[in-house]
Amino acid sequence: MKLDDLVRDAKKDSPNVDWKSVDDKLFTRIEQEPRPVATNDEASEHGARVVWIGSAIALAAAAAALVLVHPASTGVDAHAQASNGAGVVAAGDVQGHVPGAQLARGDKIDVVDQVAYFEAPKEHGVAAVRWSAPQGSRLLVQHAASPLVLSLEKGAAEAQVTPVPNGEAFAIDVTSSSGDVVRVAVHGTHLRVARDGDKVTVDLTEGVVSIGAPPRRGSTIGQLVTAPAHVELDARDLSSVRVDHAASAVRPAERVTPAPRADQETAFVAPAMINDQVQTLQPFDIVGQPQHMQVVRPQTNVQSMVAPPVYLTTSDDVSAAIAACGKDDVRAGSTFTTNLSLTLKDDGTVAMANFAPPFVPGPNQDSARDCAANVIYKRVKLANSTGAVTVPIEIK
Amino acid sequence: MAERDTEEAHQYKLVSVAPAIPYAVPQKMSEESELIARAAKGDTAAFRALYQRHRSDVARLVYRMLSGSADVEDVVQEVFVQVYRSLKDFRGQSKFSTWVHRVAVNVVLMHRRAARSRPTYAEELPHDHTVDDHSVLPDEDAERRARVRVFQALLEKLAEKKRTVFVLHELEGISPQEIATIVGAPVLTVRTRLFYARRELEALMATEPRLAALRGTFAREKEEEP
Repeated sequence: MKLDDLVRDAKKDSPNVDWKSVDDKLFTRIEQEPRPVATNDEASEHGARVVWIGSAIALAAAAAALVLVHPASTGVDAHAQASNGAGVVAAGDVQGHVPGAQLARGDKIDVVDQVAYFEAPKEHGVAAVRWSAPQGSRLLVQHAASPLVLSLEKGAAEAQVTPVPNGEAFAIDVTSSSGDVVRVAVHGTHLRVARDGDKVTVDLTEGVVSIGAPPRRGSTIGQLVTAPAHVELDARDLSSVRVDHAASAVRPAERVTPAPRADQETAFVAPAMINDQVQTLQPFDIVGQPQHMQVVRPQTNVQSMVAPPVYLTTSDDVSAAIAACGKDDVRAGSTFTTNLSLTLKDDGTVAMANFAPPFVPGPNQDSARDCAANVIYKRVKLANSTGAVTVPIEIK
Repeated sequence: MAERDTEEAHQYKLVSVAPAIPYAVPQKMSEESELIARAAKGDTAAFRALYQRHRSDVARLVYRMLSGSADVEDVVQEVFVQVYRSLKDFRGQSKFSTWVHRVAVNVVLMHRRAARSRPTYAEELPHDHTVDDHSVLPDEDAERRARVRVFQALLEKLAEKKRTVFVLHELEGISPQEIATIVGAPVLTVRTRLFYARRELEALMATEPRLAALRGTFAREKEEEP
């Protein structure tokens, strides 16, 4: 008896299925399933209007996190629906507020009218992310858990992200017409990313971002840019990044939450503390005209709680401080070397920094890079230096 | 796939052996594409039509991947619920049947993993209990079924990935290229898994005592074959 003989026998064997029973149970379940959501393009073809009207959907940064939905602030109600999986998030013209919705990886968001607001409350150490997308924007949820990653297909997205102790809290990908992907990775900041075809602009009003190719894992290794900054680049060519730190070049921050209605307060309160450490980003209110908003920090004594930084004033000090960041990470018996290129502001603080080769001293690169970013952007004030400075780093 | 419902088999035959009818392929495809598009928008009637086209293939695949388990109906039901939920993800980059098979394979594997984590109760019969029944089943069909049970027991001993490609190729008659799409692995990997699956099965057969008891009847059957 050969294997083929047994295979032949097995092929004659077929299941005895009670199809009536299966049919009944299946279609009972199908009837209870939420109706699939058509894509926006398809819906448009058939005249069905897929609309986001001034509603706010909170986005779960953690997979199972509850998503809150703010009621519309404009007086126009919208029904928002989040599909499960690679579908399209659509808001129809059903009247009434939405108590909650959850976005998942693969969800596509089209903002057909006005501005859509989203929110991921801080939970289990995951950063709070609030973001908005103006009319005409299209985004794809690439990763719904932390870090939240959105792909900007057209239009713009503006986000306020509270810092995370390690790694990246949020990222926006832009895929160029040639298929190259540029990632704007955020540790904690207020930024706006917009695209017009392959032309990408990043306006950074707070914090630090890293602009580079998306990594397979870990943090984005790219050009670190600190606020204030207006960045322009061609998504097909990462070397085309141009940074302007003039405050006048940076687009003013706009609100990332809907304006509270008279009868309702905005529920979101950004966490001020992460791991019991006071962070520089605080809850804020936005006042002024919608087109020219101004971020006003609350009057708290937070600043007085933060010890003034001890500046590193020489290249050797900078080198030693950064080496200390990766000291515990580098493998015993090996040496990691890199060059840190700094572009300094007039006062000796850092406008832009770049490691070549990338700062990856060991497997725990995220914490080492965060530590290095803190050193570079918060503690460096090189005396008697302007323009570009290169600092060799050696970690043993 | 060889064992489709009669009507579908006829259609398949037209498509595959009658290239002189150039509209046969696009007609069938466009009809199915239309059903898919409608079902993706929530048209239950269109989904029912798709279900009726593919349910036999899915049931057979599930049955073979579960080695004749009694859970076939539940798993088939789950496969089509998943198909319904995921229809919006179907981009038409592969044949719809390939995509459905992929969903089915994933559901079966999930089911098997879940089943492994369930406690086994003492009163549950072992899966291959029917093998020993051949002594009280005199007819040849019963003998054949007994051999199938042994074969299924041997299949169960293969690693999951090898078992999956073996069932898809040897029992379902799916090409390695299509299997590569279904299991998400390179074609070369599929061929390698097939090779080792066969080799392991042959080794298992050589040491399987229950097969020796069935060899006598098998030899008689072979002799009687025209």
